[in-house]
Amino acid sequence: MRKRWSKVFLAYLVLISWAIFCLFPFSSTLLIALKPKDAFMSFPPDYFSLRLTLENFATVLKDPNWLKYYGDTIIVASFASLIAVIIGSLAAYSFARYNFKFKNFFMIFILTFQMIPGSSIIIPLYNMFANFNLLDTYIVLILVDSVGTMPLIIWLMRGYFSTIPKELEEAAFMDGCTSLKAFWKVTFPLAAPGIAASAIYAFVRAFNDYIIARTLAGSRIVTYTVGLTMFTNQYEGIDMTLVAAASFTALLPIIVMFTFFHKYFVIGMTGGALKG
Amino acid sequence: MRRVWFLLLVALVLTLIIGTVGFAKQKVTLKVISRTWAKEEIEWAWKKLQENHPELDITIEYHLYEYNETRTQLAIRLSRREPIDVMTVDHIWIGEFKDMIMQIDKSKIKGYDDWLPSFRALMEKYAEKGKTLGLYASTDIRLIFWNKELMKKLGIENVKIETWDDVKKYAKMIKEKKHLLPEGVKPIGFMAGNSEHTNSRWYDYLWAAGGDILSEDETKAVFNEEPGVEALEFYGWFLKNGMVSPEDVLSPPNGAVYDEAFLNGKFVISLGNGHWLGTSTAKNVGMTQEEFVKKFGAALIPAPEGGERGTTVAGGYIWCISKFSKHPDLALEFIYYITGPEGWNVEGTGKSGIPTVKSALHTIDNLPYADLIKEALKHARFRPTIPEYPKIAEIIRDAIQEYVMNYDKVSAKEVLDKAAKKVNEILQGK
Amino acid sequence: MPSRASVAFRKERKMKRRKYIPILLILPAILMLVSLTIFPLVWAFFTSLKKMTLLDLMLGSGRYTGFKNYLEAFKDPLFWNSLKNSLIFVGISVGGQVGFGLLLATILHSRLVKAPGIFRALFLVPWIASSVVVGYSWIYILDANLGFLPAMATQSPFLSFLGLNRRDWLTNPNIVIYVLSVINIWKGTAFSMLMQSAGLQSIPRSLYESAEVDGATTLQKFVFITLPLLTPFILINLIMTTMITFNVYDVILVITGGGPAHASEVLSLFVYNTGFSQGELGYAAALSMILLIVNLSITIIYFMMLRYGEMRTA
Repeated sequence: MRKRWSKVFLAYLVLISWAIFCLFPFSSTLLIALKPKDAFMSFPPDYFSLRLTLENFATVLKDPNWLKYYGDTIIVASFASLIAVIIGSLAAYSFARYNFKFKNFFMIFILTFQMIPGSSIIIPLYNMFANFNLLDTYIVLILVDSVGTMPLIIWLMRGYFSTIPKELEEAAFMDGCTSLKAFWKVTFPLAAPGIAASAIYAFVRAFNDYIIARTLAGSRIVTYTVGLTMFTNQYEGIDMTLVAAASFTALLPIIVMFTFFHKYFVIGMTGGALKG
Repeated sequence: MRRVWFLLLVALVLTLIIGTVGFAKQKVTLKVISRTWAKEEIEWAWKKLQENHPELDITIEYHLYEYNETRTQLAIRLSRREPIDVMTVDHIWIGEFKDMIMQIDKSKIKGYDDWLPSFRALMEKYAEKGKTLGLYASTDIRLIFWNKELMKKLGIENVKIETWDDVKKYAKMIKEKKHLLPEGVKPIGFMAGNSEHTNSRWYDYLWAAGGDILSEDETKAVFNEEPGVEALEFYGWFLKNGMVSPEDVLSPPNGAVYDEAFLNGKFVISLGNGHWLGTSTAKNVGMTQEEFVKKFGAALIPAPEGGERGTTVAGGYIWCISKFSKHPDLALEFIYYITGPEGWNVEGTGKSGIPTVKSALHTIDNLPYADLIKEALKHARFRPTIPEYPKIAEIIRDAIQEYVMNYDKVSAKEVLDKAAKKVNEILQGK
Repeated sequence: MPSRASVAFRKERKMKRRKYIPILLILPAILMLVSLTIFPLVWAFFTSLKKMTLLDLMLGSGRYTGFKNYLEAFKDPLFWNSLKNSLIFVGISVGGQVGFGLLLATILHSRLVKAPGIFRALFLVPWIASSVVVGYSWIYILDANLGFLPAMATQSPFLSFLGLNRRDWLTNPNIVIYVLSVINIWKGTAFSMLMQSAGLQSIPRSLYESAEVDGATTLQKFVFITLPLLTPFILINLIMTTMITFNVYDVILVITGGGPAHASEVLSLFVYNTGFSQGELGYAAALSMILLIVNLSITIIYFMMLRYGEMRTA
């Protein structure tokens, strides 16, 4: 297959430009994270002095609190993502494959839940979970975070399942599979890109959530967004060097993890399940 | 013989049971809701409390939050009648929380008179006779600062600022020599961003001119009267004479960013900064206190002719006991450790800010401009403590920002009158 | 050897069970959503009918005032201001995010570049970063005092040429909401890109291959194969992004706090400030109900457009 070099060049141009656009704004905060405390001592701020240090990152990583915050966040985000994707996919499959009474009603009904702003229901949620003594536990955060992303996942996965022809599953039945096996071996791999997108979305939403994590938890279970506020002092002053270093340490493992997720985007229809 | 052994065994078992139950330490848990920076203080007070009560096994269950969240958490928890023992209430919120606070008999607090009179008055504001709402932890005050280094570059030395005219005089001198300053440096700066600091630093000038925010009985707005207009026009004078631009003062998203910009040399004279500029803010930019004193000069907030010099907003928190507390006496002892003089005089207790107890005032002697701080403390004034204050504060802040954005099109009186009208609607709607 | 009758019987039983499967599959989702959101939503609705402050919450003294909060909202210039800001913010954000998302997803999918995974991961960074870091990063670019652009403004003829030499990006009430919209596009495009990428994966390559055999150009392939098959995903993308963007406020809170003087306050931020810093819980609840209705209305409009599109192609 011939590739027109002008197209390739254009493609790289757009992608690299956007990559620079994405990363450039972080350059100043990254510099702050890499500089010793007396960074901006001049006006105008001097971004180009060369004194760099890793001591801020060391301070963050050596802080046992920080590791706990990060751990809590990973646990909450992972389980929230898992639950949202599994339960969401089940519902999505049903909407995609079957027709039943009130199906359209249920679909719109579910959609409206995505619109509810978190800040307006935080007080009754607090009361609800307080009554069950579930405040400040992993469970409350996992449940609330998974519910916050489920509607979108259901809609995305429904769209995805709809594009997978029923014939494939029926072919698997013919070959003697049970419906569960058919789902697992045929539909699931083909839906992998959709599942990957949903899982990433749910994970990131839970990872970055602030208001739910700080209101319904915040003492025993502290996610990193709440943990970042611990770096402020009595006079609103943010210790920017530490906050920046902490934020980047939080980002890095996630980025690495997502680079590996990439392969799930490639599986798709090229999996070769289509015959002829 | 066997019966004797049996009886002895029973006696032994009984003794063991009575022993463990009787001599076991009684377990007590105190629930504390406070701010994120209070951790060290809480841990120290906990240690003291435990030491003083060896017969008890004391656990402190503390939940720490940042500013707005503390208020929300307290409100939600108290609405559920949660048995909170100790809580930190910003002095602005005491009007809102007064019915949730267990009032303490003043006679039960040893050394109660050690607290400075104006702070005692605030602690007792909503309490019955002979009682107080809680103990004031620490406070902060504001002064006017200037960048000595930059002024030296312009050949201006021995700066003395006592009146508003002095400030204008120096501002003019700096403006004339602007070409000697780095690009973008402005002669004057003040806080007009989206934070309560915009309000509090302006109130200093409002009070200096003899005005006030609300009437004595807190039923009507008076900030739009003559002194208020004068104070806002003072800000306006610098805008109109090109000594500062609106975006310079509107942009800081919070007081700390403004303070840091000033330390970095953005403004030559800053109309108002917290005393913590030389300690906490300087530390954030890696400046030592000695460097700070060398580089920056300070004075009491100036007053116009005939006004009161040194007026300042005093901030701070009150440690209180909630009315649902199950251990009020222990809680009282706990908050006394946190707020009392001993905590100030001992190392490693995590205290910061300015003490409000006389016997601990000497502990700030080493802070930059300690003498000015102590003098300003005598002129400390408080913002209104009524529940409607957050709404009133927003209206006043909007007015200040509107004036700064449109100083050439509207008058200070117009803007303040409009704001006063809105505030009065709220106060009358109570 | 099972008899014919028993096999038929078992099949019938299986078919009957099959009937319940669709409901069973959606049951867990419905149960979770309803139990965790219906009660809070009902609370929010009843609160919107009361005059209730934080103080009232503590004392239990909120009183019912009917739809007074809603009337007050319609009379409140700050409400209309925030609604206007929301419409601008959402309109520009969604347009940019979906548009750029589509562009990036298409290029990454097209096999024109090597290592698309790395690009994808890099593009995700703004979306994953916490709002504190995002906020302060942009403050260090745009702020009048601390920002890079304003500091260079007077010194760089290049910036002046581009018209970028202003210092009031975040303080000029006329442009601040547009600036924030651009920042939101920067932050959220990755999500749209993810959704479109997933959608693109569902299109069989064989369709493209046979089109190429017939001599189709890139543009023709895009217009006649990609777009139609991607349309459902683009539409879901539009709907979801709109819904989510109406509720966004955290980055705005960090960068401008809604200021100056409410110039950058969107409806979701207005709700948050009214509830959590002013303590007017009743009014805030009414405002959030209005926000919900606005959100819902726009979704319905999308659906009507979708129906119209479907009718046209039918």
